[in-house]
Amino acid sequence: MSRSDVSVPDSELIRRLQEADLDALGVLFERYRQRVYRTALAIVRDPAAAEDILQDCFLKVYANAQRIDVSRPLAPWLYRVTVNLSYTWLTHARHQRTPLEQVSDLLPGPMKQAPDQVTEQSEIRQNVRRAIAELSLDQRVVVVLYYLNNLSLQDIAEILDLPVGTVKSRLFYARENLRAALGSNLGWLPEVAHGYI
Amino acid sequence: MGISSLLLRMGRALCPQRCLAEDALLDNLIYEALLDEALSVPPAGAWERLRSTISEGAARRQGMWVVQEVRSNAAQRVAQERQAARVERQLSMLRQGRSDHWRQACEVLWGNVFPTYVALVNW
Repeated sequence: MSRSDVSVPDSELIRRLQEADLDALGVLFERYRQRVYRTALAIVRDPAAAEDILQDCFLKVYANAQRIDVSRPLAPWLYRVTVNLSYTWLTHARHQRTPLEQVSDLLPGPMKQAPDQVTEQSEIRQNVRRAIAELSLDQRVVVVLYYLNNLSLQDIAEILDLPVGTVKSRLFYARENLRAALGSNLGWLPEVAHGYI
Repeated sequence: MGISSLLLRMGRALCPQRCLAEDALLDNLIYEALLDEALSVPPAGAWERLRSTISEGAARRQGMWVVQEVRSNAAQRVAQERQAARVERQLSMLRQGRSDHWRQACEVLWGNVFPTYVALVNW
């Protein structure tokens, strides 16, 4: 991607893509690949699947270039496609009878390190990751979009094609479920236990 | 909503400062938990693989599309012709059956009225 490509707006790149300019797709890919990949990874918890979703997402951009509305931002469309592809992958994975217990095996981090390397903070972090993985898919998607991508509730509602109230409700109950799962962890952190914060 | 959630809400209402602190803490924990994903990057060569996939697909469409279409049309044509012939056979049998049925009905009717009718017709 050249320096000049960085400043080209998405709408112009899509117009070029509509004229079969594959380099324009390359610029879009470079611009959004990390966002798409990390969103998919946070939802499906599988790096190989996340890469497949990344590829499929941009294949859809290529295949549907003529139908993309250039007057609207591209990011929400990409997020929506990513979420839908993640849903599809998880549905197929579920049908392949992957035991729920194996989900925790997919979590990277100190769980796979030697016990003496696991610190208290790391253990709490792993507990939070496990709790997020155990949320319902709808709640997990909202958590990922809100915390990982720093999207507003309005943006998330547009991506998921839901009312803002529904998004707010899912986020609220996701936080409640996480709070319930981590109740003891939240309690005995020194800052909270001694009332410093 | 269970009783525990209700008690939690009441506790929050009574202790807003403590609850705000827990909310902030929970937010930080979630952010930290997703840090691995936030820092993750796609594997190297992802764009090259995607580009080759698209290029191969386009070449396949341009080179083989016409041939595949002709083949599929031929197959469809044969199937359609067989189906049409089958339907035509069934219709002709139906027509023949109807005419036979009508002839037999006439024979029975006229036979009752005019006994030698059947012999005259089938002669």
